[in-house]
Amino acid sequence: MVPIEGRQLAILLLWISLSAIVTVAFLWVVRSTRRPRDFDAVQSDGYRLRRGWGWVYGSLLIISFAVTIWTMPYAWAQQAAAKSPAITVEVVAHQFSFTMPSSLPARRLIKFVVTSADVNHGFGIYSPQGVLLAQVQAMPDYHNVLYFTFPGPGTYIIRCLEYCGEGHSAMQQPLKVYVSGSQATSVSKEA
Amino acid sequence: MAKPVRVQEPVALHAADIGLTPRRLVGMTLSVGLGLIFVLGMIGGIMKAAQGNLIQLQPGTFYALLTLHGAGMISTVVLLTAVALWYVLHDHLSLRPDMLVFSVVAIVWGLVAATVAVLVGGFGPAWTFLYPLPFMGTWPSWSTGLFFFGVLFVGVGFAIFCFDLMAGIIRTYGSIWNGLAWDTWIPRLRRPDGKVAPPSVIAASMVAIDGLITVAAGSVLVVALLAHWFSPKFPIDPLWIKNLTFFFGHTIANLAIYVSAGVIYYILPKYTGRAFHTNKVYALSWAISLFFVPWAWPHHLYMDFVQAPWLQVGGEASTYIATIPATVVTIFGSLLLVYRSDMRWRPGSTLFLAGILGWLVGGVAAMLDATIPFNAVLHNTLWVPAHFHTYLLGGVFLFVLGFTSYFVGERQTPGRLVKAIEWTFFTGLVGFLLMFYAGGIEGVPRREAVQPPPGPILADIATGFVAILLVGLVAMLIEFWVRAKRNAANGEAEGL
Repeated sequence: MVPIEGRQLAILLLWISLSAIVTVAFLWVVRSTRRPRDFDAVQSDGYRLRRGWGWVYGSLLIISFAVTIWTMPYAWAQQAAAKSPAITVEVVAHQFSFTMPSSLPARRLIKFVVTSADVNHGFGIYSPQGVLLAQVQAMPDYHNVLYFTFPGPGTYIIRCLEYCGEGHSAMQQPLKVYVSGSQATSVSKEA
Repeated sequence: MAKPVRVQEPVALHAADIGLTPRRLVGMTLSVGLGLIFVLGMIGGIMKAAQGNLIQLQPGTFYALLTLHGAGMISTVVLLTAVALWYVLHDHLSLRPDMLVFSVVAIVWGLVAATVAVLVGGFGPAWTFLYPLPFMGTWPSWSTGLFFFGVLFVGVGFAIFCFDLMAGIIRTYGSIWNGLAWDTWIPRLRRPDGKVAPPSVIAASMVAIDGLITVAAGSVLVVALLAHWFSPKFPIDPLWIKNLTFFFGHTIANLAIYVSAGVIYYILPKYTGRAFHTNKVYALSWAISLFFVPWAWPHHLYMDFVQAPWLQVGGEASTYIATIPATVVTIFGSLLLVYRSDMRWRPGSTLFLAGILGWLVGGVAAMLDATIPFNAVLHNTLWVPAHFHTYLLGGVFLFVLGFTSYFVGERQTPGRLVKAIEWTFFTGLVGFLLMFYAGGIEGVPRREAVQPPPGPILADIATGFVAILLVGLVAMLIEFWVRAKRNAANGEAEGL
């Protein structure tokens, strides 16, 4: 099994806990039907509770929106956060392979400029342990820019994440990531 | 003397002329639709078995079946929910059975065209048919054109349903705005007789407006693709058409839930003995849904970084806002209706309550996926089918089954047998869904004939759960059938 860590772990914990809370609430409501009461007796409390729930839910959404807006994967958010110049790497996706360097340095900000020569593809970066770390779409006629820093050396997997035809499952290739300075760079240009 | 000219009276087709009462018409559509869902579910099981290496499928066959499963399920679920809403409102809004016939026939023809394109032509770009893949596959060109005509027919069928709904609302309430209960907020819209639209009509009004907008966008999409099919020189911008594809695809699938909400508003009170009442909160919440549901589509394009930032950020905001009415008003309101009520627990009420839970749990998963930093590690993984199977199969489809149970009549329900069927069905459903979630969190890509680990082992387990689910579904449908016959023989129609 692939280790569950980082954002995946946060997502799993959030989904399990929120689903458990709503399931328990449902079971509680179902159980309450054993002790029926007149609707008028519960309605005003219910409406008060609904108002409270509306405020809580709305506040949670505003907080979530405010937090996520600073952690977006787009160039305008990533460029602002970058502390060093990025290495630009051009990636062209085809049915069913990627044209890109076979090795890249670790712990350096990489600017992937991704496009497609034919149909829509996905450009997904998987860690040596198989954890999905980042992705961007590869679209014909457009260039998507993804900023990414490989956290350490190893053999990463680049995998297509948009269905692109019969050979889609096989559209993946290894990417060697080395410690900066230990290998001659094969990237296209340095910005 | 000139002979008198005999003028032929125009002949209108009325469903009643061909022996189709509304009840018979809806019963037939439910039978065909539920049968289709079972067959398409079997196809889903076959795909799972292939991913788990239990059987062998060529990739071309796998992707063709995937296309049929997706397009067929969405169209059939839209058809079934539309028929359910039509049935609960047809008396109140004087809806026309002949319009429903046209609508059903158009959707069925669309499904037939798509099925021929897939099974005979091998058409397989998935049901989202992202340009330019439909024109660059291994399938023959005629199958591409036929599939698009099929999509057009499904859209036309849904548009006919929306037009009929809108006409009925305007006939009964004077305007679509009154159908949305905006008269609770705007005094000058109020009718002299003080009649205010009930919540099921408010839901129907929202569906009619957004449905027509969606089909209009879908028509532009299909016409552009057909123009390119006729003449490959016809230019199409990949980003523009991707937006249009997801505007159409996302909204039409999402609307199935809002159609179901109209059915919930009508049927849940029958079991609880309490009623939903229109007020300003309902009117406001459905106005929010009306405006924000169609604006949620950009969350499908979060990973297209070239998309305008305001659309990306706006997509997240719209998706968040669109959940407020559903969560705070419809779902909370349904729970309040059930809370400490003298609830009559029947197969229908159990299915409706379970469906609302599925809608909520799937909605939580959808919200996580619609949060951009999370989407970066969830997009196009199995998390996506996990969440939409939860609120379509574990939500909307349960509403359809609940409606069917109500429709055939809840009298003479064999208690123990129903419990056994429900346990079988729900065990299969929950197990199947959990395997999807596990795959999603493990980063297993969706839409792959051959998956990386741990996809195959999860698919093996899921196949077992699909088998249990389908056994439960068949048993449930047989029980409905037997109950329908028995109640009909006793002269009893729908209800408790």
